Amino acid sequence: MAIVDETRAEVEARAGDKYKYGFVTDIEMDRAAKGLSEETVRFISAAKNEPSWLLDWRLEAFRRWQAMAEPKWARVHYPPIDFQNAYYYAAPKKKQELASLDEVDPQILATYEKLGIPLSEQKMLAGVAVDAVFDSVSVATTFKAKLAEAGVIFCPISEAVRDHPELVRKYLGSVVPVTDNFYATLNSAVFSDGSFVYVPPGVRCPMELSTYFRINASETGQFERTLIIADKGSYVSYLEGCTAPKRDENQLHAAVVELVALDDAEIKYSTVQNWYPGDENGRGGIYNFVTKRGDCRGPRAKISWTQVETGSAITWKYPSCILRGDDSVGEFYSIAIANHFQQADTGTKMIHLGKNTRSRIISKGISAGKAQNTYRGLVSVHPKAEGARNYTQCDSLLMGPECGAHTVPYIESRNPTATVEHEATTSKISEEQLFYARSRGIPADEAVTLIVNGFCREVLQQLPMEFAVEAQKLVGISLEGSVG
Amino acid sequence: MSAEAALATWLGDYRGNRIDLPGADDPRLAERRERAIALVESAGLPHRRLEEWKYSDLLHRLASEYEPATPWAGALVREGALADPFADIACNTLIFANGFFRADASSPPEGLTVTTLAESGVPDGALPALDAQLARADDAIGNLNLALARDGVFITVPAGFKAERPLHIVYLDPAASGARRARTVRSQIRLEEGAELTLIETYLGKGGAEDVTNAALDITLSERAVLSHVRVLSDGESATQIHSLNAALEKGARYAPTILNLGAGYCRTTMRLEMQGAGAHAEVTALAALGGREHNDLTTILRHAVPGTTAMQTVKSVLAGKSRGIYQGRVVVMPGANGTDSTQLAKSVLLSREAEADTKPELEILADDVKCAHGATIGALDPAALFYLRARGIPKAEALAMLVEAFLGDALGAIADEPLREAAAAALRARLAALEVTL
Repeated sequence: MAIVDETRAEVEARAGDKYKYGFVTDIEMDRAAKGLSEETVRFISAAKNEPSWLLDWRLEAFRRWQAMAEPKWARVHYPPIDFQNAYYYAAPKKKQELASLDEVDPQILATYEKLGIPLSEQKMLAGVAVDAVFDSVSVATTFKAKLAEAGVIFCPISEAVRDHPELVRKYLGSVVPVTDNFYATLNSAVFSDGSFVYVPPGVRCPMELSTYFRINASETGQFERTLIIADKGSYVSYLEGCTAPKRDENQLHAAVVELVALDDAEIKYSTVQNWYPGDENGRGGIYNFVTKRGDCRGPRAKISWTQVETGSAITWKYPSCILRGDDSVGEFYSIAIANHFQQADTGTKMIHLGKNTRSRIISKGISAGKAQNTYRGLVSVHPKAEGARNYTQCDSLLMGPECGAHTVPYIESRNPTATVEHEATTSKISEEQLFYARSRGIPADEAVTLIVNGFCREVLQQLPMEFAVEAQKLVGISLEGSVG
Repeated sequence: MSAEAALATWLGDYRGNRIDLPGADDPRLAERRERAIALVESAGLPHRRLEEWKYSDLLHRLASEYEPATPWAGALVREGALADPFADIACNTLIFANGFFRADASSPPEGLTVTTLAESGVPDGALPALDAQLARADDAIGNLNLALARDGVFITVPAGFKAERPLHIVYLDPAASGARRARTVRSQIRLEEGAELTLIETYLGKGGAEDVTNAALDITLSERAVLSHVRVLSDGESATQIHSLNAALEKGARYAPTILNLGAGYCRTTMRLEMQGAGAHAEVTALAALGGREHNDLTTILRHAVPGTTAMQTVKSVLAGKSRGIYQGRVVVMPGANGTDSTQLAKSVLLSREAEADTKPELEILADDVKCAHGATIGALDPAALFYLRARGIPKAEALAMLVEAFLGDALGAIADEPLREAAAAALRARLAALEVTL
């Protein structure tokens, strides 16, 4: 019950739909000229002092991208995006090499404070290292020493290109190929920065790794590129949390996340996505077109995706697992909440290639207001995936007569020893449950939050502690005012 | 043959033969055929890049020269790859041979209005369903069927009429000639208020010819009408069967189709159910037992348009050899259609290393007070059950057969009429006995 009370308090404190993180910081920006051309790609590459192989890689992607068409199959509708009317690169103005946090732009630090990211030593106690991404360039990384001691590399990807080119070259684009899809190809051409993690063999990463993404400058597309490699027998848990300031223009975000888990390695990737969803009339909000994919490259590898999607005007996101190694495991736990005019088309792909591969999909979709929420997933068992096993459960909850909930699962099996199970339900909040709660004196709003939190429980449990609390609050806030 | 050439072949059939098609001198029909062929021309033939045809490459099946089928006047044998399972059931029978109605072999029931397309053209009451077809502009198969239909039957069951005997429509393929033939049949069944009918359809073929059958059946059920429908298909390994089954259900109407695919080289059934009146209920059962290189695709689009309609779909496949079983089921709940209760259950069993099952149970829900659920499984037979039987001295092959029969058989409970259910079960057993289990 404490959590419900807390949620209530939170909702009241936020007085309606005011987006908590709707503020803008004024700092000098380094910008590429508006529009996208080979010149832009060269500018970005030069600004980051990249080696020529990476420039060539980007240019190749750009050439391919020009011949590609935007995918239209998702159940999302939006006005055409003018890719020439956006800035593709913005970096906080660089002063000099930073020796300590004191040198970081105080305004940036203040912004983080508002976001609740204490970039300070107290964070050490919480055991979280924060690689804070501020409009495309990582400005500060903490706890490097402790991680270095364990041999873990955790740095901006631009730094990894400089310091560990052999790793980046080996793995970049190996899970999500350059030509994978329209948005991934765009990202390959213009990605600005992101995080790079390498966990050496047999190492259990001593702390949860965390990055906060943040879109700041108006009209700046954000193209993050994340690459995580867990070498043999290692373990890493990575947290990604997102907030963005309130803007009326739609902003494009096309990130790519690649995970590689070698033999016996495990990667746990958790996301709380709370980008600006647009206002109650459907104005503004982030367009989020993300390609996330993990590759269980060795036997007994495990990749687990957990996501809480409450933000963005449009979400197009399918974190996937390629279960290549024998006995490898893929998991996908998702809560997608769409309120007002939000549109979410999200799900996963589990590609079973190796023997005795297992996957589990738990998806909870909640639609309210005039939102459209779609689960779209693929489970594919290939002929050699002897004894493969999949269990999928996707449940949708409808709140209000004008929203929509859709389920589009693709289930394909080509191996008789494989077992694939899929279950889905769609319903509105049960009157009986509401009545039960209300007859015990719980107000309607609170009862709804309580029931919804119960509906999502299986997924919330998968989140690391710090995230679980925040996510639970988010669930309540996102649905504020949706019960009539 | 390229996609363009394939389309040109079918358009050529229409353009070359339109003056000989039934109703060519009836502007009501001729004008609708013109519109239909124009829609086909702009949509093109279905190909795998279309979501609805993702798993079933039809273009490949349509891309070769053919001759339009012609009426058959010779002897008739009610046999396909299997014998007609319902031959011993007392029915009123309508026989089609090579895609044309055979009045001499048929015994239309009394009390029902039965006319045929080739003989008497299109009755006025049949026009709305044709217009509904034309409204589906991207349904190239249905529109091609309308444009090229050479025969078909129009049946009306008057208000309150409860048919005592089932009506059995048998489609025979007597001419086992070498040439590849195309049969196009478009029929309609209308049940007026409170009418009741049991309809049986059997498609029997066995030829080695690569014949293409494009059959459409439009069903209209007025208030409280009840239609039980059993369809059995048993055709040759190289045959192509394309079926459109369109049904509209008014208030309180009930429709219970049971479809058994007991073998056909390629079969695609597109079923569209429109739940238009409160209290309408549909109960869809589809079973497939396939081997060899057989391919079965059941695609259903079930639209709950008004409050208070219910539906249940049960789809089961047993797949041996290199066969492939596909179920794409879409349930759409339109805005305001509260009180909808719709479920889908899709189960497939793979009996061979080379078989494949693809399932896509899709929900599209635009109202909130609904109950929708789907379940899907793909796997092998339960090894524990197999062990249980074998431990009791039952040989492996026999034990497998029992399990397969049990898996499919319980779905036959949807056929209410007992003799009919027994006959269907016997046909299913005969088919299963012929399938090779290679596990």
